[in-house]
Amino acid sequence: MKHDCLVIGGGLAGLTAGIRCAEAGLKVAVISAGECALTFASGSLDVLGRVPGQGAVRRPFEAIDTLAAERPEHPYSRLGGEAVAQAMGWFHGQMAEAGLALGRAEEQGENQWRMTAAGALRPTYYSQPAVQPLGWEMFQSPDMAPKKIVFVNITGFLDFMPELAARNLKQHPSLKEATVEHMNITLPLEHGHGATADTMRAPQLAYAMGNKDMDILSRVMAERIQQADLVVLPACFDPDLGSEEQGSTRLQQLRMRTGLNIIDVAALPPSVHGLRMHQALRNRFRALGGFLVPGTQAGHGMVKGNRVISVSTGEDLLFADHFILASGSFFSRGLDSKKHEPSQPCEVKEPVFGLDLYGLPENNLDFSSRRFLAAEGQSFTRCGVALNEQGNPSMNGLALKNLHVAGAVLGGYDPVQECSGGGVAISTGWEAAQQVINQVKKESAQ
Amino acid sequence: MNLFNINSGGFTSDRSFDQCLKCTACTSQCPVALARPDFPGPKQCGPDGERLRLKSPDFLDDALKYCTGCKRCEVACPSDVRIADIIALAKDKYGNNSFKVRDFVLSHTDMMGTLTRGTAPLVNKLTSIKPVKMLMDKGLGIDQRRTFPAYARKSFRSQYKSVAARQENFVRKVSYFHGCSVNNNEPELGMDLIKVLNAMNIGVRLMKKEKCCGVPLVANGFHKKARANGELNMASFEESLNGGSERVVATSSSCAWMLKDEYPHILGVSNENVQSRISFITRFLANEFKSGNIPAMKPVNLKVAYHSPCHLIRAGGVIHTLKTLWEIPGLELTQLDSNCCGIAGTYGFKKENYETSQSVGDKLFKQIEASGCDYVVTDCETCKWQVEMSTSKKVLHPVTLLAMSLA
Ligand code: SF4
Ligand code: SF4
Repeated sequence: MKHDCLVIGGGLAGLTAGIRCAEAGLKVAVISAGECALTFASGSLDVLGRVPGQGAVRRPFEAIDTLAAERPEHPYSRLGGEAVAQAMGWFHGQMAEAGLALGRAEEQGENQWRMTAAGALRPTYYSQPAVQPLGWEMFQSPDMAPKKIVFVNITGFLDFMPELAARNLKQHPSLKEATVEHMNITLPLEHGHGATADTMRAPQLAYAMGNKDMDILSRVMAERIQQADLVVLPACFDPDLGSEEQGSTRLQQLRMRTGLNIIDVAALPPSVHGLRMHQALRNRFRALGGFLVPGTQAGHGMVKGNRVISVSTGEDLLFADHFILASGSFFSRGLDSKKHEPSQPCEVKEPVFGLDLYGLPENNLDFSSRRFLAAEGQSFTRCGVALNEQGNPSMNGLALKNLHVAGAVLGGYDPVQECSGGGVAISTGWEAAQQVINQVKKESAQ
Repeated sequence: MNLFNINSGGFTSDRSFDQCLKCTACTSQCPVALARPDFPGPKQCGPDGERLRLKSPDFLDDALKYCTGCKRCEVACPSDVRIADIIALAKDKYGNNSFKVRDFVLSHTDMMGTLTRGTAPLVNKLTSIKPVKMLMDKGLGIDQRRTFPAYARKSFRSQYKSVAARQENFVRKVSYFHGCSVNNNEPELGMDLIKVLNAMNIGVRLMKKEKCCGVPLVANGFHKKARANGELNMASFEESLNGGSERVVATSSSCAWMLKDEYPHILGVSNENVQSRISFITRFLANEFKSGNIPAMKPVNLKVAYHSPCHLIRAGGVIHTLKTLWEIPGLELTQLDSNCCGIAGTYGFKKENYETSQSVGDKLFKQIEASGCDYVVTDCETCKWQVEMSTSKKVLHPVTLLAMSLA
């Protein structure tokens, strides 16, 4: 049996597209190979946090329209601020259906702040449910800013570094006068089978903790932390979906029992927040009748004229009427780079179809900077699939009509520098699905 | 030749650990590391540990034994590190391989089947009564809380005799690797397969001789025996494929994966002459359906929930089972979220693993109970035992469901 739509890639973009197709009643399957980037994500969703040269963005959808005028190759430019806002709103509703209530700033269409495990503040749009939104005004001046912030770690847990985070946070212009402290709390780890926190990653720590640990944690925090405006813990409390509805997440309980304003932030990967969002996406997709096919690497796409006919996986061929490519960037192998000669620029390819790319390197010096977090960004992150005016990709200049592309495999934007990864994945996934839905409607009307 | 296999002192070692990017995706998906945090997880036990073990076997972590071999870590890995294989090979090479009667009994599935033959009703009775279960628990370390799969009164091979002659009348024929569980515990599944393939004008033959594929033997450290079985199986496969069978099909997803994808690098048994002609059954069926060979079916009017076995996911075979099920009329199919059931072959039978096994499976069991399905469908026999023991639902193999829908 043929699918109406086959989505290549099971990350944020692919599942968003899959959910939208399934919601419209299409027969859709998502194939995936390897864990997606959500495993490493903060679990907050950025839309547009920074425009190079202009600094932090307060109203992302308005900024998108300005961006569009200057940067026509940016995936947002084709969509425009209003469509991106619509996609985000729709996504919020889908996650709510799956039991993940994403929080946004009080003011409609405004960014809020999220804190990283290293104590930096980044503009973001949606935050994970248990997080109290850190409003935009909060870090604009020392008067509004919290006066006392305490970082708390579970003794031994290596993937969260409160000392470093506290030091970094102190650098923030509006926190120069604030007291930033850090402390460790030792826990017995009730379900840890005797293992200690230093051997655990965040999800393991989450499952190792039991009620006894929560009792100790809340008692010690209540005793030792006085009058803090903000308490920051590593995200290792609520690994599973579904406890939020009852208002009984461990984090909510900690807040209630200590009376403190506690947030938990994603520690080093794997990220409990990211994994939980992935779970919500999968649940929603399946609930709408979509099918998930893990462990399936897309090989080569077969193209006839301007249409994709099938995609190979191992010894088999998968056929469909429409295809959505959401295979991610270099790390997820949606893009492939090879270096032949040290003096030559490396060769970059989109391996499934060999699609035309934007931002190919002219020489190696331009393609990557030796400074990992270079201010101007890394140009390889802007390299990816180029789309034409109608939103179709092309192969040697020939546009493919039934192939749509979404997420990090797209070129023309820098998710790290712009804080735009989540919004691009969601809005382009949403848009790719809409294109498929429109075509299916058109075809069935004929 | 596999670039990543090196052979030293009779043991194979997997060098794919050099590809590890230290991203921890594997650890986030390891059901055992989440259920019992004293298991350091695939990254530490696999690529990280192997680097150290190559220096000195003293770095062997006893916790390796908790790995179930489910291969979810390999599915999660974006860099093709064969993590579970590295762990399995390390267990073989450095592990404490002192002989355990219990492991011998559990892993020698074909022999146990033969020994119990004729006494099946008695054995079934015995393994289900309390004092015997306690004895097995205390004496052997087989957990008394576990329900044993029942042994069939008449093996599949002897039931097959009644339909053997008819099979030769078909122009097209396939050979069927039935494996231990169909032969000893579930001959009905084998008979269902014959019904389905015959309805598609394909005859079903058996190999003159087949032995346990080796999955339980490898898991319990009997690599030598597994290797010998592998050699015999591959010779049998070649013989039947030369003798007019189009393909060798298997109804057990783990057997199929072992035979087709694991023999060379886990056991050093070459399967290159037959590899491309070994298929897990739903792959064979999906391809037949695609080319128009679909048996006449009537609506089954059932609501089923599909659970994909870990090893089928690893083999990239989930799509074939879905395609097969999509063809059944009147089937309301939902897919359960991909979670390990926890049994992992013989793993969950062991007393020391019972708690881990059940807590790994807990998410799946809850989902099944909440699904409101008539049946659970899955491709693996041990998943079936585990789900039937741990939930209120009965479990069907896709082939059984097809047989039910035959017009
Ligand atoms: S095979 Fe399964 S149990 Fe073993 S390390 Fe990998 S994921 Fe964990
Ligand atoms: S998923 Fe693969 S690359 Fe990542 S840490 Fe595990 S073995 Fe290494």
